[in-house]
Amino acid sequence: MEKELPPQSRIDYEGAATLDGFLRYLAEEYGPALTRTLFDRNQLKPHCVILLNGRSVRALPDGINSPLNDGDHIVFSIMIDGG
Amino acid sequence: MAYGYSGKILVVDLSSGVHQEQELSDIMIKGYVGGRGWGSLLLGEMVSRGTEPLGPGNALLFLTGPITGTLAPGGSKYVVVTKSPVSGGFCDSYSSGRLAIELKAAGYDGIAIRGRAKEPALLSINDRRIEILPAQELWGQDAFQTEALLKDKYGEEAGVACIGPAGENLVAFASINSDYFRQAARGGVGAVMGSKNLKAVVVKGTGGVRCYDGRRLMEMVKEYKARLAGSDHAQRRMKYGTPLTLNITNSLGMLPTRNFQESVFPEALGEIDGDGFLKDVIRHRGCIGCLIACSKISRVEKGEFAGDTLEGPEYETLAMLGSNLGVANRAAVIRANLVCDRLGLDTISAGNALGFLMECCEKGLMRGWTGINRELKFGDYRFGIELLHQIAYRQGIGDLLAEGVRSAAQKIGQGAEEFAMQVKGLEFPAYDPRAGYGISLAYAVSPRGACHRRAWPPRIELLGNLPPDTIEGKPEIVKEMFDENAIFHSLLVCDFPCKMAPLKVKDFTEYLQVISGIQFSESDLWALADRIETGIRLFNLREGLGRADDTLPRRTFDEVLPGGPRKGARIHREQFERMLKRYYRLRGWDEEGIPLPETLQKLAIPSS
Repeated sequence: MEKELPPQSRIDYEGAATLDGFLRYLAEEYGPALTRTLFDRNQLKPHCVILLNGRSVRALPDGINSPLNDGDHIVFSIMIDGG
Repeated sequence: MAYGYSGKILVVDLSSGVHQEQELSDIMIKGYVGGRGWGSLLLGEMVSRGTEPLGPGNALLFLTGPITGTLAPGGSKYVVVTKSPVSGGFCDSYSSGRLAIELKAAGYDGIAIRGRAKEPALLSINDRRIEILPAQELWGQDAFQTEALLKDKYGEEAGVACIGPAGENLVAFASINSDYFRQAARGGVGAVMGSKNLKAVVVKGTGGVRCYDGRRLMEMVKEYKARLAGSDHAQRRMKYGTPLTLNITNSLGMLPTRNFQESVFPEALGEIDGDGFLKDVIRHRGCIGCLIACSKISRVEKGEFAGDTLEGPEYETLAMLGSNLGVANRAAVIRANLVCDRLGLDTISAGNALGFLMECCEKGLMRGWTGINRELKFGDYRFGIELLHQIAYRQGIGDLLAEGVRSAAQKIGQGAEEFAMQVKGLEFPAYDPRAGYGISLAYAVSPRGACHRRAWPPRIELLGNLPPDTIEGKPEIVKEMFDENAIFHSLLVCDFPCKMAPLKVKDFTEYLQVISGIQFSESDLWALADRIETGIRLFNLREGLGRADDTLPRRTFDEVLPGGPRKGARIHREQFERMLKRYYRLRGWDEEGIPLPETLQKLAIPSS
């Protein structure tokens, strides 16, 4: 059974301070659907987007292992191509 | 004649009332394919140098492509091509609907309209029966009333393209409407139609499109359907439509806010973003034959705009009539969208015009200006909606805004040009170009002016793996995206299924072969894109546009983004110039952006 993550959520998280750690926490808390939707064999699917404070995880030097800090803003979305 | 094509362009001269048929030439089919390609070839032939865009010498082309009217994905689009009254250069503006299908069924691949009718006129095409009819009873009606009256008379199946009061009054950002809520809106195509005293085109056809290999086409469509069903990307796009884009642009720090003074608008969340939008959606709608159905019907249930129902709003409208005006009231954006659709106004440019005036008022530049009896403040949606009417009817300050922000800024002076957000006179779409160098280049070099529909580099530089604040690789990305869209817009297919299914140029090469029976290769299509883009460049150069017009307003260069993830970003001129040079070189143009003789030779473009 999956729990639904509300569209705009504030989450208090005290696990490993990396994006990867946070994703693992979400999978435990809300079910595996999120990681299944985003990743294929540990690779971010081409049509999926993760932004950490407005920066694409693909362009971050540490990628999915980027460190997290208090107040960070994370977005999960599909790729868009303009409106 | 090749399969897929009807084989003829209908040429109508409204001045003389004479019409004739122009056969498609071999070069039109094999060298330019359709749509944007044909526009790049025909506009220069039909419109002589220096022609006044709103004079009878201009041509207004409605063009389809070989895929139009077939079962291939996204094949119900048409393009309007003309010399733009905004830029004075090439303009192509896309729409979709019944008109495209009926035109092919009537036996035409396109219509070329020249001259000017003496009285308000309606062009009726019923198979090969062509009539120019008086349209006094339609003149003055809004676009919805016009279409409804025509559907009453000609039947629900008739394809219609019409203008509203804004087109009649030659507003620089007047649209041409189809199927009520679909607009060819950018670049003033509605004003050109109005200048010809042409209120509407109505088309009915009883024929069809002959396909070379119908069996294989059916197989391909089935494969496509299966691919869509298995595409998480497409499924989510079906659910959210374009408004989800606002969540991303806000998160990236590129959402136009208060006339591009800022680039994040937290008030938007849950209100005018993808999540807010879904609260009003009552059903989905797709273009004819489209399985994605990215469009949504929204209905306002409560408040001062209760009962308002429309197809939309799309992302561009939510941003330009929402955040760009400091408005987070979704119902107000829906009302403004509806008013624009009825009046026949481009919502992107309308949002720019209002945002620009709001900033002028904020800066005290409108004091003593006649025609405006009170200041327009950011967030004041009621006055904003009232002003949309004044623009369409050219009343009061609306007359000033009706010429677009570049013209309005020149008249207002006092430095207003620095924050009139436009390129070549065409107002910015809903992405702040300071967020990434690629966007800034795409806006600057787009032939029709600031445009997000020819290349959208944020996919790579903000959502992909290239950093936004460097120029390396950006000219290459912009060129490749331009070329890919030139192919899609010539075939003429919607590029949404292409991006989401996904369908690539390779896929469409096969669609084209199966439909036309002509052995196009993928590299033929990429070469064609180069020919088209350089052809359009030659048209713009002939009309006096050049390197000096491939630039951006001063705000983009001199003012940094004040907050959000891209805080401190601006476009550095030296970097921008380096990108521009590189882009010209990639195109085979010299440092002034003039195509080199060897480029013309390679692309088989006549040098005259």
